[in-house]
Amino acid sequence: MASELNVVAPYTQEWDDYLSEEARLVRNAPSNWEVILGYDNRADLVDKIRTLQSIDPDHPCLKTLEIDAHANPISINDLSRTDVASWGTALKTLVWCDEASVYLSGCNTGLTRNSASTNPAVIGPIAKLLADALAYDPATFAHKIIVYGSNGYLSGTHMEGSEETVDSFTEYNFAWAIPPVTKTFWPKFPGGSNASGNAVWIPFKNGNW
Amino acid sequence: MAVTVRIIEYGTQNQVVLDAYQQDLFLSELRRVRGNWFTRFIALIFSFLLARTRPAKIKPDVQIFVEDGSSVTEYLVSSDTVLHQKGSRTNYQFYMGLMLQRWLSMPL
Repeated sequence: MASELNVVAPYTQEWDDYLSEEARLVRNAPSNWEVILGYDNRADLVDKIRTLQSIDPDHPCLKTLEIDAHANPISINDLSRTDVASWGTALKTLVWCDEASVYLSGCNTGLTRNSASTNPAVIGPIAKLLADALAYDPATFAHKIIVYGSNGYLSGTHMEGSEETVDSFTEYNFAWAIPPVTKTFWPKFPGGSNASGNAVWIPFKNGNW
Repeated sequence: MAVTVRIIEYGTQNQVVLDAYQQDLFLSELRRVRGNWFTRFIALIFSFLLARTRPAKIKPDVQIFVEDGSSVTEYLVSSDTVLHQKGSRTNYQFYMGLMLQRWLSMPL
């Protein structure tokens, strides 16, 4: 059996504390995982994965790709609902294992926006949009890929096994009132839940296999 | 100096420059929610005193640029209704975020 490549790619641009996130991932990465740091965009990420596959003498197939980034129901890092097709096209150029997984490790990536619309192109979830963009085709792309999205506000990563979600949460801020406190609600998206471990992930298959 | 407010669906090319009426609504609501310099200063101190529970991995929905002459201030709206100024620790409940998304033709 060909060897397999597992990759986690933190996209930490604009994070408050990206160095500690990257350091933690490198420190906690199991020996069969690679961590890609400091990529700029889709093309750069794909190039770096391809390089990892080519420099390994076994030329491993891509088994797991975890994108660790800021997210909402319709985007994660610089992947958004408007360019998900381009992401699909670019990712398809990689050498995938017959069965593989993509984890979109950001908040609410498996949920839809609060909207009266039912059009997935505008309400997400981004995990489903990416699964559709990586569509299984027995002739041209015979790889069974499951894209996993989170079911709430996420902390931790799949690689570390530390993933947890909350469906909503409340912050307290100052207010010019008595008592001098006001709440800021981070609302629940439809289907959001409190979970940990594998229960935080909602799977989306890339076809009817 | 004329003020211009530009809103962008975060991470996309979808953007709108607010017209005079929309801009007046937005700036009034922003002032109401954020208060004056004194309340903002107290709020900032308050934010350092409270442990934040916010998970790190939330991406904004809408990016807002308020351009006043050569000065540009950037705000971000996340989870439909939470506003913060870029670089600030203080968050504000900002239900007008839903209206901004409507102006961006993001279905609600």
